[in-house]
Amino acid sequence: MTRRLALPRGPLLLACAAVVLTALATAPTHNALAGFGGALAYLLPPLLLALALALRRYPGERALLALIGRSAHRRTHAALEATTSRSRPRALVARGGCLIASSLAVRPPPARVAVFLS
Amino acid sequence: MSIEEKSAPAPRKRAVFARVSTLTAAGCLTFCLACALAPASASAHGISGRASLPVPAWLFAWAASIVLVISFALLSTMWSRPRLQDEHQRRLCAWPGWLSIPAGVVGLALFALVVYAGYEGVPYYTANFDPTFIYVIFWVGIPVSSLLLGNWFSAFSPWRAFAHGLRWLAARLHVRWRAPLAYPTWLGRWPVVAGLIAFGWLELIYHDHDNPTLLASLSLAYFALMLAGMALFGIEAWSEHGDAFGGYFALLSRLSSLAVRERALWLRRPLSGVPSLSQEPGTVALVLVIIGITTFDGASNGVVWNTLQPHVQSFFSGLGLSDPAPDELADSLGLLFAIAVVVCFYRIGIVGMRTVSGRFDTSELSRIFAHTLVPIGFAYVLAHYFSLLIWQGQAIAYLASDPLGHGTDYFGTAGWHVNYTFIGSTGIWYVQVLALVTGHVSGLALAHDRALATYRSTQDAVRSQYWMLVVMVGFTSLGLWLLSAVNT
Repeated sequence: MTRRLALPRGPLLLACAAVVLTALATAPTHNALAGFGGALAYLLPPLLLALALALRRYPGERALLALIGRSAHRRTHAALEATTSRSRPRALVARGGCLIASSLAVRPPPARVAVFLS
Repeated sequence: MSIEEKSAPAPRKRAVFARVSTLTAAGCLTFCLACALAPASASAHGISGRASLPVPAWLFAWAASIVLVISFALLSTMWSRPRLQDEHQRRLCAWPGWLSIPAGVVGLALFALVVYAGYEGVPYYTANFDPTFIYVIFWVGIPVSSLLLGNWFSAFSPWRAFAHGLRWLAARLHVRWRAPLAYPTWLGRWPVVAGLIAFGWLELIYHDHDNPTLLASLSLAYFALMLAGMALFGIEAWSEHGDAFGGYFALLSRLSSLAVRERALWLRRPLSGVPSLSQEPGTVALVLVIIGITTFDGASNGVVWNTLQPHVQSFFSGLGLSDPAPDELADSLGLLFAIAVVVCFYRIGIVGMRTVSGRFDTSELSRIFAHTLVPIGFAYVLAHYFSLLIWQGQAIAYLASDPLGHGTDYFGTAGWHVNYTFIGSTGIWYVQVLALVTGHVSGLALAHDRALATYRSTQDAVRSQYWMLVVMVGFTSLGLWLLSAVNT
């Protein structure tokens, strides 16, 4: 089911307003503008990311969810494998030393024990 | 109908809103790019010259952002269930109760030395014990050591030790004292917040902050205030909530793998002490104020504030105020503005997370994820004060031998000097970058862990963490910009 999400543009507008207002406030002083430009060089990565999120774009989300799903599937599969391999009898007939012992014995061990020993 | 559906605006309104916001965003982005690429901005990267970096300093911010994005992807794919919500601790060793007596005596003796040196020592901050001890060892050294050793300050706290001593004495005299008031729940951690803002103001703004006599007087006043609080609300309740420094050190010590409590040393999983931070009133404000104070400290040395401050100052001068009031008022405004900027950063992340799922409102979300800012606060403190701690911290060796500045040499170290070649500007820059990146990756891990425990669907958890990634990358970039400004 596709979920309808509320528009996440409020934070973006807030951030944009803050940026523009600060820029306008500092515009009369050249040094402050230069410093502000320097700040933007640093703050560009979070601004770009915030912009993408505000436009409801989650970069790489699909790939990330696929990876999460795959690793979850792998984990579930491995856990299932471990559970089934523990519960399943490892051999239905006696083998190896147990087979020799069973053959030589006057009265062989009960079937369940033979399975357990194998 | 779901909460999301209820809050969705009408289609027409949405379209107009979308167009306006897209245009605003595009304009903002263009402005950002223009400013970032403008030749004038190059003059702000003076750190390259001082610290002789191989690349411009702002590229470090971009590299740090990439590290955070990679960490986010790895956490999302490889960290599939909450691991830090329980402390998973084990006791390493215990000690007898009487050991708290010598610890308290040491704390009280140091406090007495601070007061004595403040009143009897020379009034120069370079030669008197007090400024270096209070602003470097106490304010910066204890938080840093708390990361390694846990909350050891509580055992050495002079006001707490004195209150315990008084209680013991009262018991010997068969006087039974019970706190008459219960600590009000609504007050939460607000006294700690107020105390930290006051101390930050004293350190960064007040013109006579290095005056040893003033520091001694304020120390005594704080001591009396703590005793009054403990008498009214009980020793432990007030130490936890009302003691600004005790609360601050205890908060940052949660990052340590070692915990000190019940007269024993406990080992816990790294970072697992932070999620158990109680969501009392004032907790969000506390972590934001820690970051905000440090932010102002960095910004006050940068080109933006140094250009704007004289204008604000002249405005206050125009109101007829005499020096140094206009300067202090301008800086006070700057401090409040820095805290407001930090609050806005966090608020953007929280409002963004609110749009992912309608299960929680913004105030709930801000409380739920408040603890993720603790490592960021510590990273800011360490990064901003590292050079102070490394360089000015050495001065305590000769000041301990001559605390009053009268020429004594109690420990034979009075002739020592600060060795500035111990670590260079470049080394300090790399330590600062490492501290900031590590702190923010830790914050991201804590947020991811909390999101897994909070949200029902994986998609919601991942989407919420996209917003926390914005917060973390934002704080990292801001921190690096401030640090580069300090070193310019």
